[in-house]
Amino acid sequence: MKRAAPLLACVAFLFSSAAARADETASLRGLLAEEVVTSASRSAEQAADAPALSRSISAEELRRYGISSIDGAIDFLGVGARTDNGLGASEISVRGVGFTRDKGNHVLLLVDGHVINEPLLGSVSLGQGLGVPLELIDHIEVILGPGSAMYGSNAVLAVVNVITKSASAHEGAHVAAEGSLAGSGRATLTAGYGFDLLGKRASLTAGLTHYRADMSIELRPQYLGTDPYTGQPLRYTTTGPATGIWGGRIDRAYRSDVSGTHVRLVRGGLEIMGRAVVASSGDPGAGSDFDSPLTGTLERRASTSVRQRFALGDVGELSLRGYGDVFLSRDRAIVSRASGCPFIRTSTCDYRDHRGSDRLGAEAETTFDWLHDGRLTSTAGTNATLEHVSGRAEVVELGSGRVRSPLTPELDIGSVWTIAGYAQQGWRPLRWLNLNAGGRVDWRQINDDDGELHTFTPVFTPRGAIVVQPWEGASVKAIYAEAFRAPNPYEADAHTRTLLRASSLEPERASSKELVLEQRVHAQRMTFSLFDSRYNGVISRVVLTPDEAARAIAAGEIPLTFDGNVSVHQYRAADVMTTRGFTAGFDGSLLDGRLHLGASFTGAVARGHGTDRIPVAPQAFGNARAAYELGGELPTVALAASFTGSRVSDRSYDAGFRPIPVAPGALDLRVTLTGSVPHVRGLSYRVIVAHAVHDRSPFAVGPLLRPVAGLAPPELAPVQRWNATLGVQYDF
Amino acid sequence: MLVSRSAGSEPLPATLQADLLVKLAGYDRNMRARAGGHVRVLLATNGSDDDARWASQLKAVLGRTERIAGLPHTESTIRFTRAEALAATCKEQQIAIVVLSPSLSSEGERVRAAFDGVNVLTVAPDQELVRRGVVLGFELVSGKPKLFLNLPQANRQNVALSAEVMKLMTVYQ
Repeated sequence: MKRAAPLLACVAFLFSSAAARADETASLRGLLAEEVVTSASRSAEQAADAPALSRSISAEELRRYGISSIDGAIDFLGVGARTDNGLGASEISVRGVGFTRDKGNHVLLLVDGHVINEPLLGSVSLGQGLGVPLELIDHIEVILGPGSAMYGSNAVLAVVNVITKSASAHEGAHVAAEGSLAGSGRATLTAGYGFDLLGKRASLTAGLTHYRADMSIELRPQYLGTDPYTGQPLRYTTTGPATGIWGGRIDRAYRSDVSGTHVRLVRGGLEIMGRAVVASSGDPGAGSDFDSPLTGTLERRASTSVRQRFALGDVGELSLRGYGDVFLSRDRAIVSRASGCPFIRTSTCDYRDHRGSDRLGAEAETTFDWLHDGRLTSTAGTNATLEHVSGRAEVVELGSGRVRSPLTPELDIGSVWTIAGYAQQGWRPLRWLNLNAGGRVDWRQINDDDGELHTFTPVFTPRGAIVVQPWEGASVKAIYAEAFRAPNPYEADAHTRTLLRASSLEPERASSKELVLEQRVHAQRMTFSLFDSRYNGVISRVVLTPDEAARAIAAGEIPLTFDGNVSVHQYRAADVMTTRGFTAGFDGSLLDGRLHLGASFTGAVARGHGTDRIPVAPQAFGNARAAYELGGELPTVALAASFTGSRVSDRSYDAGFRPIPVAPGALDLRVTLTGSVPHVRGLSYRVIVAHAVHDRSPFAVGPLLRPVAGLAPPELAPVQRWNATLGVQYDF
Repeated sequence: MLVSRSAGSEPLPATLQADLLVKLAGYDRNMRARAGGHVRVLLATNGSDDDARWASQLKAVLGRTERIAGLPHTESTIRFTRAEALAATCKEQQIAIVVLSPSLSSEGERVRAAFDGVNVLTVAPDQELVRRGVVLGFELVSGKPKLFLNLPQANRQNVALSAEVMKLMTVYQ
């Protein structure tokens, strides 16, 4: 015992001194873990004060956990949101609610505050198609819940703001390249420079990115029967015999090619941004010719924005912004079956949809901090946009290019004016109480090509929040928010050979009540929220019943004969969706910041389409992650997991399949090693091994859009189960 | 909340700037000796409305803080003309902390030269100013505050931080 006493004293001393050191820096670590968000109120504020539940995903986390795209960040690092894709673009669902085939138009996607959703469809790409170099992303803010009070249309489920790095945070030139065994790769060249320009400090950040994927996957052969036109088996190949079978090995159609550039110049209060993206992708799950490399989409997008900030005395700021966007896309579908290509002496049709839109906008915003200490703040702004849209379709003979059906307008809408005004008032009457109220009015006018004007009733979307900070590090928020999504011009007016023009559509409306509890203990942050959200007048692309289609054909509203293998659709606003549930999250670090931990879980009871299960959107999902910095020249080792419960597939209700196709629960695992290459200054690496424990996504593939007697239901798209990626980066 | 911003990055809210300033001043082992019983904080601006707003906000938030490094404190504002004049003012008025507006980032080298050997903690909410010669800085990076330290300049200005605190900073050698 006598011998043990000095030893115990030494141990006690070591522990107490370690504890003292930990105490010394713990509160500073806590301050450094404070998240600052700019998207909830359009100005920088601490996340604990923001009138919404938010999650800020840092560049460091993206790299540490092997993330290369926005959808990956949402799945592995986000809270309350989930993305899924079935051999194509990702779709997002939030807290149990998603809108299948909406091309992301219920989420407002911003890059440095600039709206990315294109005007014709409201679509966005959350994958590589976004075209922002990953190495240029500073952080991604995900603001859950309705956000129209500050942003207007499309901010129904969430606002996602991708914020690029400042020159000081990305100084010098950087080259990065990654390649995966599955057949995808990307390369980026990015740079950041600070310099003095005409007596003021300026910064320039710029980047180029190129992504290419050329992958293979096996699809189960589906027998689709005989062609009603020929009585022979249906043809799903451009060459070779007609077998009535769609499926097999995809070698050429599972492809993607994206090139993007992003430039931002800041000098004083002036900020100029420019970006351009060219993206092409195949559509291997489409029901046209199987594995045709020509079926797919080619998109071109360019945006520019000029913002100037002015001080308004010592209490406020005026921000003026002008911006413009151009979007061009061409969808192609190669169809060889006679019923889909009903032209004499034409064996294969090349269906081409040419769509275009542009947007010009101007915005003025004032922000005031009346008492100079954040206790009384006001924001007010106005925004005006003029959008032109066009959509034309043609059919040409593959090979010869002979026109079989001339270029025909898909919609009559020429331009859309939107004028909006918004305001928000923040008031902190007591140190522990923060009140926030705001709202926005959007007024829209659609101008037909024939000169006819349609003016819509102004849409008002309010938001109110009470934030109480009852004790150290805690914040309790009660939030009420509304949102809307104006029917996009395509939904409102498009009419094609398989799309019946909508009769009349009003904006979708959403409202949400939330109670959020956040507790921070030094660098650890825990959140728990309860939500109750409702979505009214949801616009869906509905498959017409054979009777409805026959009536439309008889009335001359659809040009093609309904042949049993072609489904006719129409956009209709009928659905009501509701969701109630909870979200819990944890983020933090231990062991002097060397061990990083995080997890989130969402449980929702969502109803829509007259049922208790909404297609694709999981009602139980989450993620968990841990990373440890081994230190020195050793790497950081990270494990991330993303999981969902089972859900019904995208064609479950509108197609009427019985039994309803159900995708199994999903578990994606990812192990990542990151570090610097020893003895080579500036060179770093990232090794990612990814594994999907499940084998199917909730999206059906193939031509079968509705049940046909004697035919098996469509296959759910398989997922890539194993992949390994190696990446290197050199910082000059 | 609005604050003066450095080129290309979002501003750090004034409450966080003030909290970090107070916390970091407390970690400087020579602060109490330098302050002599009362911490005098000088906010240097370029005289623009932008900077006036930043200084007003920081002053207001610091004004609500009871003590800095365990001592009472006062804040005042000065219009920056020349780095040498600012250094002279600091010596004359026994200033313990000088906070420079990010709009002065092009003055970084001149500030470094003028403050060589001056016993004062220079701080800026701008990484670039730290790189150029201000002792301590903070900036919003990846949605969170990050700390920056110019170690040679810290030594020259008699600012001493523990290794534990420096581990949390990006240190320029």
